Amino acid sequence: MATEEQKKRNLVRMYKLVIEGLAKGLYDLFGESSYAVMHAVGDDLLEIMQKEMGLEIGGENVHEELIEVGRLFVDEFGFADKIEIAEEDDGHAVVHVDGCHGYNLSKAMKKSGVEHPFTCPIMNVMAAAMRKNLGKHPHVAIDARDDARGSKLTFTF
Amino acid sequence: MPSQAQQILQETAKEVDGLLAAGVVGMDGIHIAQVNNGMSSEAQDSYGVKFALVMSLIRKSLTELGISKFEESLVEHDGGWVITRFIGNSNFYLGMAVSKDAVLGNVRMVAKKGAEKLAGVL
Repeated sequence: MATEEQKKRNLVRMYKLVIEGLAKGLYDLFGESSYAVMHAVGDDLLEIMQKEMGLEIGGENVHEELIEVGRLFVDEFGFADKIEIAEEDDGHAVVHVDGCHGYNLSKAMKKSGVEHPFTCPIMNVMAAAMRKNLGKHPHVAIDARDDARGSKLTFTF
Repeated sequence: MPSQAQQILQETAKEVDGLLAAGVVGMDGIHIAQVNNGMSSEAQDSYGVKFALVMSLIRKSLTELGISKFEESLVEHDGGWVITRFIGNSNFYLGMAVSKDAVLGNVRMVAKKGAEKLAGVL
């Protein structure tokens, strides 16, 4: 019989397999429009973070929103080691995520045919925060950064 | 590009009676141009996202049936119609929500012409 620690690990593994399977199913059905499905997930995560967990996300511009959401994912969730803005101007912003806990899941998704890990919670909450707090509706893109075991998130306005 | 699309969309929208909202939407569900005439912007954004999924699903279904070009979908509801039309070979579609006051044939013709113009700038 598995130890409590092994059970926890197995449970996490099972959740990851479920997410991987759902992502593959959605990507097979909708292709690039899979990103559209994630709007609602981003909105819900943002609301839970703000209302149920009492986390404050209320930047006054894109820079502040990205910094604030990034900080929460690093400091409150431990979802990544480092999140920083790599590029920014009026038309776009690029965020680098290093040491991401979703990295292995993203690689597994890619192996199963999901070109872009559109389920990334960091990207989806950042986009949701910009929609809700700034009224901006960015196009989002995500690419792997293998050297940092993380990703590059691009927001285009 | 978005400002040209916005201009074309505004011109196109003027030709439709009973227009509630019109938008140029990416397949990721994000508007790059929109005209609003009685629908809340939240509702329009929500329409944009959901119809991106509908368009993707129809396109995939038709592709599997061997139909290579899906051009337009038309949804009738108790308050009017929603017409969505792919813009050329781009990854965008033109969507229009109109009331029952609209003349459907005119809406379809205007949407087709509008999509052709938009294809030139997207």
